[in-house]
Formats: sequence, structure tokens, C-alpha cells
Amino acid sequence: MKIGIMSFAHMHAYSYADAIHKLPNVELVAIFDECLERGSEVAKQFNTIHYINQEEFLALEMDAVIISSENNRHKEMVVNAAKAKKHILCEKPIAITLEDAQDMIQVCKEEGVMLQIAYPVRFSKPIRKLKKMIDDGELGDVLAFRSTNRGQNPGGWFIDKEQSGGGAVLDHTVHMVDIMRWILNDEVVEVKALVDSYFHDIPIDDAGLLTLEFANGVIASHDASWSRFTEYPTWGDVVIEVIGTKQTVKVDAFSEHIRVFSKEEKSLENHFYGDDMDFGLVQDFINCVKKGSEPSITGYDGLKSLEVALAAYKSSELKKSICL
Amino acid sequence: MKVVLADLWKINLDHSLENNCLVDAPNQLKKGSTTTYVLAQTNEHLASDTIRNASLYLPYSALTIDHLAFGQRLYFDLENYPFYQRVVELIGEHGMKGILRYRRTLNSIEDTPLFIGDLYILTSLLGKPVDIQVKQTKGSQASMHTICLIHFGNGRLAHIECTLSKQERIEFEWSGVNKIIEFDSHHMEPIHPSQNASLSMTYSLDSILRNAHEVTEELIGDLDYIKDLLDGGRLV
Repeated sequence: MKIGIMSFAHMHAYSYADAIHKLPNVELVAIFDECLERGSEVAKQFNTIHYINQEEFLALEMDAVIISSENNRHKEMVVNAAKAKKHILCEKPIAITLEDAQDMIQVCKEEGVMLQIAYPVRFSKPIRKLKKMIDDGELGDVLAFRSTNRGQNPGGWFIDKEQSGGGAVLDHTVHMVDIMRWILNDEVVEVKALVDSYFHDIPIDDAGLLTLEFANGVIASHDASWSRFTEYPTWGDVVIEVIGTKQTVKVDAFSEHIRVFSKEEKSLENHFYGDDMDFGLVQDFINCVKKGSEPSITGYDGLKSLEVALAAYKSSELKKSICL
Repeated sequence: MKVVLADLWKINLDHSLENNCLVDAPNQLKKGSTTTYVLAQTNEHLASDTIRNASLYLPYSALTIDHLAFGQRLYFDLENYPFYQRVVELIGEHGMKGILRYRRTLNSIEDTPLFIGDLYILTSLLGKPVDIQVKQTKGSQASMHTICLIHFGNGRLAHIECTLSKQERIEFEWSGVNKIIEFDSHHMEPIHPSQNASLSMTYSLDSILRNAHEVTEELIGDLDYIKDLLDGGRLV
């Protein structure tokens, strides 16, 4: 199978490229990146060809592309790739507006190509174990969630609202909302949020607290921030706790680590040894393309989680709960 | 004569600077004594006329309106934990801007006053709320989990939550500017497997005497306001 990567603007592109290299019978045929310097370096690193022209890149014989550009360019690249009949794995968030997301879903449907959204947390081993426990009834009925997704300020285009569409709340809400939706098979109907910029002198939000309610009455609290600094033992966290009628279970997607103490910049550093969830995501995408099946994480999944993140901004701005 | 009613699993009398005496019943109190007496916080003891005339220290968790009298002193569980006292110092040292995620896990719904006390103490630390939203689980599982989303203004946000789960536990996470503070009473338990009473959830008699609040109309009003919020979940 032949795969291309469109843009290495998002850091996840590097681990996606690694994943492609690890998979048998899958080839990274080329990359497209308008940044000449980055594109050349990456092409050398992954032993592939760099294209600076999107049209020429999409004319190549490829089964699928992975889009890891700045958020505001997802729509353009998805539409072009779909028209070139390439199946697509698009980095999250799907887009920066709901209208763009709807257009992307529609175009992919019309062109008969798959659109999968990159939510790697669905491929975390502890998260999958949690989902199975819930599906098997071990927690009873789900009553509430508590979740966190806190990391470091990625800087660059992430803190430019025109390119990113939003800061930490957009970046770190969609993952956990997707997991909650996946677990419940239900939608958020009410969002109350407080969004602000606390931790860095940047022109975009770096902190947000959200309280959510699902259609079935389940409630949730979520902490999305870029509050972790470089000296912190790890880049951040992905934690979800499910409060059920039978028991409460807390899952930390990065708890599988060894602690390393040293006299370096970080006196304590956590070294993760758990499964590579990005690999799981890419492997799943390739399998879906091979089988011609529906993607495991659809464009609609991307749209609904985006809707919650955007509602959080609206709630904070209007100082009221937003009903979806 | 000072009389402290307390949860005897939680109070630590070791190394107290007070001349203290743990007694089983109010009839063991000696009127006019300079000793500080410690009694279990039972309804029977609370109703005793003998202790009414003493300088009385009551835990908020044991307070009912029938036993309330101005001039008595109330103390709050959270405020007396050594970890919390250290947290207050650390947050104070490094400025107050940041995000708090706090969760109290309680044994049963009867312990809800502990959570009301937590909200009182935390709002005393972080400031007057400018926006509060309360969400609770519904139906037959009402009050199983409560989420309070609070904006304190001046760069302070909090999710303060409570779960009923047949155990007592406190989780405290402060994300400040270049300072992250984390505490989990389970993780900080010094003895494993843990004993009947959690050592990380004990506090001293001296702390109670030092931190207790005089019962005033204002204090009762503030506590009633928090109680109403949890009962009605209203937005201010």
C-alpha cells in the first residue's frame, strides 16, 4: 500500500511516518510540504521524496494520505486529496469551523473516499481496556466522567488563532470528548466552560475548564490546558475517570512509565514504555483502507467533538451554558 | 474549659501543646478545668447540656441547626490537614493565578457537610466566586457525583467535585504559573496496606484550636449559601 503525508507542520506527522515504516507492505511514497527546508529534511529522514507542489504530489499513485498540516489548511487539503481519490487520515481537530467540517465530510462522501480523524487515544491499551470493562457492564451504568488533557505550549502556529482556530481548549478538548462519546455512544447537549490565558504570555487561550452534560444525563468535567512546563517530568497527561453505579475506574493513558532521576535539566523524568497509540491509529487506518470498510473514527466523530470545543469558547465568551 | 468534639479516627493528640484529655462521656468533664477535653462527635454528646457551657469546638460536619449557637467555634476538616496548610503556603508564595482541580470522595451522603466545608475553605483561599455552575448526577443516583465549576476572577478557575464511593479521599491539583502542586491522600498514605484510619487524613488538636472559626451570622450565611448552591445548583 502506498501512503503519502501532506505537511509536517504538526509534530504528530513524525510518529505517523515512523508507524508507516514499521508496517509491512506499506510504503511512504512521498511527502508534500510547502516548507522547503522542513520538507527536504523530513524526506531525507524518512528516505522518501519531497514535493513542494500539492497538485504534483496528489497526481502520484497513492492509496491514501495523512494530513498533518496547520488546522486551518485541513479543509483545503482534504478536499484536494478527496478529489484526487485518496483515502484520508486527517489530524485533529477536523477543522476550525463546523461548516468546514461538514464540507469536508460531504466532499469525501461524494468522491467515495474514506475520511478518518486522528484520535490516537482510542488506541491506547488502558483506554481500550476501560472501554471493554464498560461494555461488559463491570462499571454498571456510567454516571459521570472526570478527564484531563494537559500538556505543554507547543508554540509556533498553534498559538496563531488564524492558523490553529483556537488554543489549548481546542487542542486538548476534542480527544477526551471523543473518548466520552465513544464510551457512551451519546452526544453532548450542554457545555459550560471557562477559558482564559494563564500560563504563557500568548495571544490565545492556554487554559480551560469545561462541564458537560450528555443527552442521557451523564455529566463530565474536563481540564484542557497547556499548563505543563518543560521541567515537569512528562509532557502532560491523558486521564479519564469513569464513575459508574457499580464502581469508579480511573485510567491514565501514560501511567506505564519508569521514573528517571538525574542531575540534568529535569531532575525527574518519566519514560513511557506503553504501547505506541499513534502506531495503533495508523495501523487501523491502513487496515480500514485495505478492507474498504468504514473508518473506525469518522468525519462525523471529528465534527461532534469539534462542536463541543467551539461551544466551550462560546460559553466562556457569553458567560452562559451553551445547548447543542 | 475547652471541649473539642471530633472524629476520633482523624484527630491526632500526639505532641499536642495543649493540656488535653480524651474522655468517653460529658460527665467526665471537670468544670473550671484548664484541660482541653476531646470527645467523640456523636449526636448524644452534641445534645448534652454539660458541654453547652464549655468553650465548644465543633466540626462543621457534625453541626445541625439545633446545636448551633453564636460564640461557639466551628472547625473545618480540610483546613486542618497538614497537607492543606502547606498547599496554602505554596500557593501564597507563588501567586494565586492558576487552575484548581479538587475532588473529595466521601463514604456516604451523610458526610456531605464535609464537602460543603471544603467549598467554604477553598473559596476562602481563592476568593469570592464571580460565576458558579453546579451539576449533579440525576435520578436515583442523585448526588453520586457533583461538579462545581467556579470562576473566582483575577485568574483563578476551579473544578471542585465530590463523589460518593464508600471511602474517604482527597485529590488536589493546582496548576499555577511555573508551579504545579499535586496531592492525593491515597498516594501519600505512609502505611500500605492502609489501616482502618488513613494517616494522611489526620490532623492535630492544636490545629483545630488554632484554625476554628467563631460562629457568626456571616459564617452561617456563607455556609447556607454554599448548601443552597448544592441543593439547587443555581447559577449566580
